[in-house]
Amino acid sequence: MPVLSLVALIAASALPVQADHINDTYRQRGYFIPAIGTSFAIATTSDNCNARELGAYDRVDASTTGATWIQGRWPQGISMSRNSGDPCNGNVTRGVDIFLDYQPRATWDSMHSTNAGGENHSTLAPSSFCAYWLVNSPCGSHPSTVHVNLDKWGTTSDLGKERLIMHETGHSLGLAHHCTSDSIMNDGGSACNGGKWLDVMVYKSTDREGIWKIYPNWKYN
Amino acid sequence: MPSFQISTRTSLAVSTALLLLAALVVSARAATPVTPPGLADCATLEIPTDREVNTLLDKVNKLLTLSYLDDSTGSDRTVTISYEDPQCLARSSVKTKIDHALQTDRVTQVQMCVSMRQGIANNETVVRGRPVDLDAARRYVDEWCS
Repeated sequence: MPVLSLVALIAASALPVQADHINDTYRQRGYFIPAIGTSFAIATTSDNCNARELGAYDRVDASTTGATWIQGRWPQGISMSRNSGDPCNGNVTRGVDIFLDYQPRATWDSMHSTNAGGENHSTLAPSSFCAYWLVNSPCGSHPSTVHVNLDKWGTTSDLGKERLIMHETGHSLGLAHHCTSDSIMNDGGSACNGGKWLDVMVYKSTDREGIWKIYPNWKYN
Repeated sequence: MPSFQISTRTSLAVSTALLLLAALVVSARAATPVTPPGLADCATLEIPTDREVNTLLDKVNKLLTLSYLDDSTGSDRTVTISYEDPQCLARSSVKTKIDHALQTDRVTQVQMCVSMRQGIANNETVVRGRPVDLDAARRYVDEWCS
């Protein structure tokens, strides 16, 4: 190896690793409206309401709530809950931020993604939608749809299900995959930090930093 | 020494042939769609199968952004395409993702329109504890729900 390359490698390794979450990837993606307020309350709807969704929401809340930013947390955490009055039929209303849509195997087969556990599909909110909420455009994407692979869901452990919901809603919030350190956004593949899928069941500091970067107006203290 | 004198007739023929060739090149270029700057070139784009591909739809500009983990770099690769570009629609792996993203949006759009119309009809000026602008709701319905 040439000396210069060796020196560059040593210099690069001495620099702090910047999480790819906090780069500009997905800047326009994600949930946005009530996040501008003092609490980060996210309303979801689902066409297959189940206890694992609630378990995931509890984990998100617990791992994002804290007294100070020193811990990389927020006083009220990220509060995810089912939309008020939601009959669990996947009814997407203007007050819903994330739609958990469980799709049968045929859908995943048709997309040539038979083995994917879930995906996130968002649409940029038009200016009239931003104006509806009295915020300037562009104001992110809304709503965000999480497609869950129902076939895989049926054979996944309870922990794996909660992990999947946390991971996919992390995309809804605007986070990219993250492989250079422990993260809820590890995609589970061996190429991603050894595929630490179930090793991380909380939002780590890199995840929280990524969210803070996406929502800088959200006051944390 | 051999003579390289070229007759006027030969010279004219060569010039004409060159002009025709140039015209052919220009017309071929004009016929090939040019990918706008910043967008991925669908002529060579392949979206990997059997993995999570997340999408972001921009209906105003008719763009679709696809993101998936690139194993070779350990970070997400993000590409943006024009979802009406014939070259993109001609590629199976890309068209599948376009169709899915548009279908997903249609499902939520229909419901959002119902919800917006309800909000207007019921004169709801506060949603989830936040004030909302019903004039903007009407604009939304006009633009996206016809």
